Amino acid sequence: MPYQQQIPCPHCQSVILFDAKLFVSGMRFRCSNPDCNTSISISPTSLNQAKDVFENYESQKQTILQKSHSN
Amino acid sequence: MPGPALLSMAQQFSGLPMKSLIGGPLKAAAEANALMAHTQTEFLLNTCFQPPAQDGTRSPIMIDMIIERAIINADGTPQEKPAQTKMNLPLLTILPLNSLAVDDVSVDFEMEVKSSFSNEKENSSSTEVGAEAKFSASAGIGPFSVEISGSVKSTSKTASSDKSHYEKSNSAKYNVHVHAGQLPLPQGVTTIIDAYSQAIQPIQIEAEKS
Ligand SMILES: [Zn+2]
Repeated sequence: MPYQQQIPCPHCQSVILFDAKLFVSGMRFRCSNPDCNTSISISPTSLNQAKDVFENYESQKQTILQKSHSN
Repeated sequence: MPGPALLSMAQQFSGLPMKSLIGGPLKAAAEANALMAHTQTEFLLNTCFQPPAQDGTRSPIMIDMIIERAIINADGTPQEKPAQTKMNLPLLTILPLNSLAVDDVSVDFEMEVKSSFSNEKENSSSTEVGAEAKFSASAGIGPFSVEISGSVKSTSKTASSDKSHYEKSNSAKYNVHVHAGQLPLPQGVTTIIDAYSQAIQPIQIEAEKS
């Protein structure tokens, strides 16, 4: 489900919608306010750290969900 | 001939441990929920927060973000190079956080109770009599004589059968299905994340005058 998350735009406080998976792969996301030309991305200095944590978090989530399913 | 007494339907069901049949899976689901919440919390504390300070407080791990703003010239044309600023954001705010929890537990219990009793009694008797004897006698009175002969045959046969039939079957099928899914975050957690996000303060690292 893309663009399910949001952070406030640091410039106009409108919403910047983003997809975490794309965000941690370096993609830039634009402010939803058409008059605000702001976009945001994770700095290359933090990209690896963010990507690692995101991937660990997602894989742990899947493991928990699979374990708890029973029939 | 009296047959075995049949159990009433109510009696058949009253022996079922309904409390454990239903309560067991629900208790297991509650325990699974607690475990999932604990595992998630541990993970977030360990990966998104600094190790606890002496007073036990933890600060969030921050990541660097780059904000770009296109600059529009007075004549309406965009500048080639956008203004770039930097800000810090808690790592926690970019994770797709969801509460993992058991969202569905279904207990299917199917029981078939079948009892039947039948008593067939069949009596048949047949009697066949055929006695066979031969006799003869003669008597004479004067010049006359009489001769009598005859035969008697007798057979006897008796058959009797008694059948009784009793059938009882209990079959039970018990299915427990537990499904865990992703639920929206509790209000308290979203409030904390909102507070982090609202505190975003960009720091300008490079800008071009418009
Ligand atoms: Zn904006």
